[in-house]
Amino acid sequence: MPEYIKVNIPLDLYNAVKKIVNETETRENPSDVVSYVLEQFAPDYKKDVYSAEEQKEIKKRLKDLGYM
Amino acid sequence: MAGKRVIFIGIDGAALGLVKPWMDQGLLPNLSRLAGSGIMAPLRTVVPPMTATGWVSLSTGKNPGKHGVFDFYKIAGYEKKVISSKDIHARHFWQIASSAGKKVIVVNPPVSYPPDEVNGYFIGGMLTPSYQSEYTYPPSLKQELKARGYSIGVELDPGLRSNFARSFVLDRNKKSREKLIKVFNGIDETRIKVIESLAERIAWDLIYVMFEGTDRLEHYYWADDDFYVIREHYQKVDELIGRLMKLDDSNTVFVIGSDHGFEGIDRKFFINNFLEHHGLLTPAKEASQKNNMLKMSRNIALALAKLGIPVQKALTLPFVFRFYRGLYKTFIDWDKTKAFMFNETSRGIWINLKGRQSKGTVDKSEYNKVRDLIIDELNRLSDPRTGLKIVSAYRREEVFSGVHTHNAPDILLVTHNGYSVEPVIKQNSGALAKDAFSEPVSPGERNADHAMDGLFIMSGSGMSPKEMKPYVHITDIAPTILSLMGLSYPKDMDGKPVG
Repeated sequence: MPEYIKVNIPLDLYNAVKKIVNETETRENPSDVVSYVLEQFAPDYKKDVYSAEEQKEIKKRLKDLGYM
Repeated sequence: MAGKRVIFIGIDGAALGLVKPWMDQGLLPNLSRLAGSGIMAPLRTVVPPMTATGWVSLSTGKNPGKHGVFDFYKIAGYEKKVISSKDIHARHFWQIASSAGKKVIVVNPPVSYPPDEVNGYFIGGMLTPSYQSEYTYPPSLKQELKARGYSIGVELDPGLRSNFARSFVLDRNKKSREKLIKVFNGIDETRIKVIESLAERIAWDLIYVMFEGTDRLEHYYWADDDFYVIREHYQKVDELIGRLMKLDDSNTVFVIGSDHGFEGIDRKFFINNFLEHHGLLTPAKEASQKNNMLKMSRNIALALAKLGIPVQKALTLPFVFRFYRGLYKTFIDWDKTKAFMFNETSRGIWINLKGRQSKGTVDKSEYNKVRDLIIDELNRLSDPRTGLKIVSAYRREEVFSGVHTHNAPDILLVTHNGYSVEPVIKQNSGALAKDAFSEPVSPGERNADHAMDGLFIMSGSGMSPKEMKPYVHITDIAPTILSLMGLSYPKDMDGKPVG
């Protein structure tokens, strides 16, 4: 994998990345920056891993445990 | 620095105050051996002291504001969705070790579906959908586990799954309890056999295993007459820890940790009724209808009791139990509500904020005022009947730091003095004391809940006995393990290595 990838990005995206890197110690953990940026600018990037049926089943299981 | 091998053993809900008397009585010889030759301390967890937040904070070394897990659920508006491993925005210590070329065996971490592709073996745990799911790495391992009768967890165990609540709530005679202990012990026995087998196949550097049965039993068997159920299961866990200790090659360090502590529940605090009495929440109209149905169910249960079914059993029949606990969502009139508790596993209160919730009623300009009012009222609150303080309430930014803090509930709660928090809404009688607080819980109910201080033990190669520390923080575990293995840890971890 290349160490750097040069891309053109919108200014507000650049500013968001710069802000988050400056305000936190995420230089040591770039995945935080990536996930934050994706969350802000591409909220659909994470598809649900559970089907509707699986969601229902796990919720039922948690409820049976006494967790609402 | 030459790295050591590390075996991490997680015991869900283990508290120093719970196990120490058993250790002193010689009932947990292997835990005693480890504690006596190393460090033992309470393990202070994160707010809220819950399974998902606790385990993820332990393995990432970060507070929930950084890793993004505040609950079993992620909340959007008035909907909740079960979280998955993809919702964790930080790396677990086994992922960091694996990336550095270390061989790892990871078994049963919660919030682990889909499973991690590691340099070694990975077996997923809590929140795995089913046995049909791909819950192992490599995927081929699943067939071997199936042949061994491996159970993903007590919630999915074939012997318990059909009616899990019934196993706890109803079957309380001695024979049923013995069967329950046997099933729980069997799940962990198989788990350790699998680890022993996997450990023979690779030159492992790190083993992670988590035992969850302790927590499940603690919730329901805390009463004096039932307590032996918990103790007997801990004795089995201790025996299995002894088996793991045989993997020690004199360059191994054992680290034991829990996600939270435990304490008995004396009474329940109905937080949404409290908010209602302060004019901040309005139940929906159907609430009274459903409360009438609930009363009717109870009357049926009492009638059954007259026919020979004990009252306690009748009142906790699964359909009554589930009906009672499943109703609250439709109880709230969102247009007339400023704040609410959505689910108890977050131990959090949400402000019904315009722009965030579709039927939000609170302007951004009012947000701090409403939130501070609730926090002040809760922090001043005591149970009129007992005089005891119920909760400590915090702004989310007081307890979390990090880019995901904005996804947390607006107010976080820590309970005190044997009170648990429930989102269920009782019918308004006009008296706060009657509506917001329950009568003392009975042995037939869920009678213990999570507390802030768990258990930490560390012992092994190069270590000598040390005095007990006031406490170790749960986020210290990940940097401690990575340091022991001769690896660096991310500087934005909140914890520091235990020395």
